[in-house]
Amino acid sequence: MRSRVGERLKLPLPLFITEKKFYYFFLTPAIVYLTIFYIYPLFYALYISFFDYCLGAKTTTFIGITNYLRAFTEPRFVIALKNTMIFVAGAVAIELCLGLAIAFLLSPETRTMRVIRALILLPTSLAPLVVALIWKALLQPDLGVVTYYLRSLGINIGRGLLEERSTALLTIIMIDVWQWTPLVSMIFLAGIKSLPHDVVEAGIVDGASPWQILRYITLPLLRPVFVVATLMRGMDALKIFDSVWAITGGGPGTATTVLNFYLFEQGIQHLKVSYGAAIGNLFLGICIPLGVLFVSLLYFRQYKI
Amino acid sequence: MRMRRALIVVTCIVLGCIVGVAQEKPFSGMVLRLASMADQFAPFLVELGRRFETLTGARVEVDILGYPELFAAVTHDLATGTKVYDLITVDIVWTGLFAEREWMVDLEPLIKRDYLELDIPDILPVCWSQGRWKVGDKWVQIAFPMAAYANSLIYRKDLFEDPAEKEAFYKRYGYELRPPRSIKELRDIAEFFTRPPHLYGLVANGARGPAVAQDWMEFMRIFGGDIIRDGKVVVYSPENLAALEFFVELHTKWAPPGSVGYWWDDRETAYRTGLAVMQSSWSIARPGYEDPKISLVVGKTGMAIPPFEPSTIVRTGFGGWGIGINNDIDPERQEAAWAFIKWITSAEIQKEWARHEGAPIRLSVLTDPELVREMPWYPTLLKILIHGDGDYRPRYPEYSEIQDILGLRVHQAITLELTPDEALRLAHQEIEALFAGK
Amino acid sequence: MRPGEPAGSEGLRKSRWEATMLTRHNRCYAMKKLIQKIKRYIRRSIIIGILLLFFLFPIYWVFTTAFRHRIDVFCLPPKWIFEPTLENFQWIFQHALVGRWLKNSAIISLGTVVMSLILGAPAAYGFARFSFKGKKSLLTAILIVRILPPVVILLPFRVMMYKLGLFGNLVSVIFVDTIYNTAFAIWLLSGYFIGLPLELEEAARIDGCSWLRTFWCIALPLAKPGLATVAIFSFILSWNDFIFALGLTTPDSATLPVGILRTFGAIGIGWTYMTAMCCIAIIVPMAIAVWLQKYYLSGLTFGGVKG
Repeated sequence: MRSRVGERLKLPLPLFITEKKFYYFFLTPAIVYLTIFYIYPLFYALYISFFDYCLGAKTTTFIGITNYLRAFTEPRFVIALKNTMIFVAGAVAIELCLGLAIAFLLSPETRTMRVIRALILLPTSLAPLVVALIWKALLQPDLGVVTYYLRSLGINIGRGLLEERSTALLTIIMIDVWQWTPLVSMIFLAGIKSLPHDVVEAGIVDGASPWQILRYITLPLLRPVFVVATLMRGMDALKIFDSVWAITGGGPGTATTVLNFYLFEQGIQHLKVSYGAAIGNLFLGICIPLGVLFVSLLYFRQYKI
Repeated sequence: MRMRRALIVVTCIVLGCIVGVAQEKPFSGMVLRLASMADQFAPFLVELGRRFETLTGARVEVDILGYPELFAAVTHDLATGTKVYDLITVDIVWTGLFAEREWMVDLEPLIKRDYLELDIPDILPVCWSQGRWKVGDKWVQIAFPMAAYANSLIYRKDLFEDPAEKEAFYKRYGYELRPPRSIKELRDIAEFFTRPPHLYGLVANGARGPAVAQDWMEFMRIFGGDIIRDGKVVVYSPENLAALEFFVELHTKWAPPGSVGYWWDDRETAYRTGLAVMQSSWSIARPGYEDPKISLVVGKTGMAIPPFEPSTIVRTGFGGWGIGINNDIDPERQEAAWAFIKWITSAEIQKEWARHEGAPIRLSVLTDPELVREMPWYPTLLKILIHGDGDYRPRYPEYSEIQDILGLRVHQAITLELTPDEALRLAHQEIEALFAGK
Repeated sequence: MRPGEPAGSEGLRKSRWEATMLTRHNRCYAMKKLIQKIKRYIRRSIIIGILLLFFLFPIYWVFTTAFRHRIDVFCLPPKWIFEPTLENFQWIFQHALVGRWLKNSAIISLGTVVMSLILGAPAAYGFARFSFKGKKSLLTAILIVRILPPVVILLPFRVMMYKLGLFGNLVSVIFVDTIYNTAFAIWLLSGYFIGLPLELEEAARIDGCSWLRTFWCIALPLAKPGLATVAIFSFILSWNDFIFALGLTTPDSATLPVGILRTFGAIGIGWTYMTAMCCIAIIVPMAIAVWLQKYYLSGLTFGGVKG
């Protein structure tokens, strides 16, 4: 009876020397694997970003931080950065609002509601590429079904939602909203279900209107859920690639060129490995702090480590 | 004793059978891989690949890929020597690149060897530009002609022959409505038939990249322009500027709204659904207009020689696909691949292919009375092919970069991001830079 | 006092009148409330209807278009009643290499599920049950892997595979997918293991079981829901993945999403064939999301929402 539940995380379970070594045994395979296939490539990317290596080239020279400086002076990189930020902010904001509304709408615990909830999760299970191709077909300017109905409603969409520079990025955001809002609403639903009823009831007893209850009681209580949902969707939104690649090819012009797309195009299509690695590292610079925040809030706090 | 003799006899018979069977199928068990463009001829090519196995024992597996994907996959395979593909369909414009890099087997010696079997004089002379290039001071043939495309003007014959339309046109423009013979006529007819939202006069590709670059080059040719003339880059010229301005007008006035995003099949579909009245199109799509499964304009299509300027020189566009052999593969696979090429370009297969959306390369097939009866546009097609120029798009090794540059700049012009003058000037500078130092 | 009425009955009459009026008022009130309720119900149903239309229409469109004749696609306004056909599916299996892509996708997805469970489950247990210096940083470094954008690792990974001669091999995609799935497995499973009551394991330890046996015989079976979630979710992720497959495969090792795009990228409107392929690509994940919804949802939310 050496260690009890609460202390397991503070004191290692002791006694035999071999025991201490056991966690090595459990952890080693994963750590070795990740080091070879993840840490090493990342360091390689850091290393190669200081050269001017192109895939297939025989020689390469050291050029220091030229690639990084070049990125900032390259207009397409700056545009890619801007577009990515707009996308993430827009998509997450819309998904949060819509997701919350849907969560409230679907909160009653009836059989139909459960069925509807299962159905509404379907968009999240499709491959993002398939979603992109479906919407590309639906929004085709001359023969697309959705375009047809939009036009018959009298909405002027110019040359097409995906062809006009003003609406292309918004349409990409809409496609993301279509696919992932159900997930956000499920997260909010779980949050709503776990709200303490007594506080809400107290509000009703005190004579607050439903709107006031929502504003002053429910929403503040849901704040942690907001944080979870924002971080989760935010980090996923940064990975946008499939729809841009499959539908717009970064266009029209540079309207939908996002960071992932730009990196793929430069580093892989045009074989400019070093430049791509530099952009990748800059991207990592944004993502790692967010990732640490994500992990600490969603993992450590949840499991109380 | 008797048992032993019987055993020997049986063994001899069995061996004889095995040898006999083996001799019947020279390439038994071989699997060749072919990378093909996703054009209309491809499904039948898949069928031919399967049929080849019953003939020779070698199966040909066909990978159908879209245009940019095909180029990327094939160049990657050839450059890194991974020998994924044994046979490759080569676009006419890739000739220079593939020849200079020595990626494909030079078919000249093989052609000379099998001259009679191939019936070379039957193949239209212009078709050889699908793989013929000069490397150093030697002429090589890196791809054998397989599908000959003629760039033709496709129009709605039923609308052109409709008396009400003819009268209205005459009243408005003062001459007979007929397939356009000059640029002015092309413009007039396009304008006349543009009645949004259900009818548009003239449609062309607009999607950034190869699609818009190649379609613009059709109009460049119509206006008498060139990319490279006499070894000099002449992108920024009065003819090309006029062509680009016309192209911008096309997309902003006479084409369906989605045209700035059209790839080849989008443009064909716009015509086939009756949305567009005219287009400059490759002849490979012609049979498709008569297929009720995909066409709403069955029996309503006319095919004409596109207009050309200057009107003194008849110059039509020739394109299409040749088929070549990967230089890295083993000699026996090369032999099997060559056998396949000889077979699919033979007169009887080309005739059968023509009935399944193929593009014949042989004079005998194009003038075959049965085919002419089934496909009445063949005489026009033959006329266009005879006057065909396979070099209006420079087949130089730098072609894919030229295409990328044009693909961006022309697209920017038609989306009104740049003026035609700026776009052409930039394109000229960038293309010139490609050739700097050569 | 009215004639014929007993004395003192005004109060009664009054209260009877009041009672009648009250009942009538109540009835009116109840009616009003009922009407309000019906109105709210209708309004709510309409909104839910619009919602379902928005989210489910594209899926409906994919499935119906896959069974249409090619010519039906070009008719506007869209024909909602049509005669179905199987010719699209026949065509794609004959002319496009859907069989090959299916095989590749299945091999990659199953391969990565197996590998990430083998690597991730013991590691998750290690993190859950032991503590040591630097554990938090190590854990953070590993968990971050799941969050970071894939394209950042794709580039150097590609160079690596190219140099190892594994470019275009299915194994390279399995390797890279396993990175992400292992990190995910560690995240989810460590949560499960932490939530397991210690008593059983302690009892086993006291009885003389080694850590390995405790893990294998006690902890692992108890974490079966977690293992199921990891397996299902890793499978779906690899099945749906596009960017890694795009960057690491050649046409003969292509997966379903890559194959679909490569064949139909430049062909704009072969919609019937494209939707037929898409149907094949989405039917498995959709079935999982519907029938194994509990595990699917748990995976989607990193173990946050448990059904």
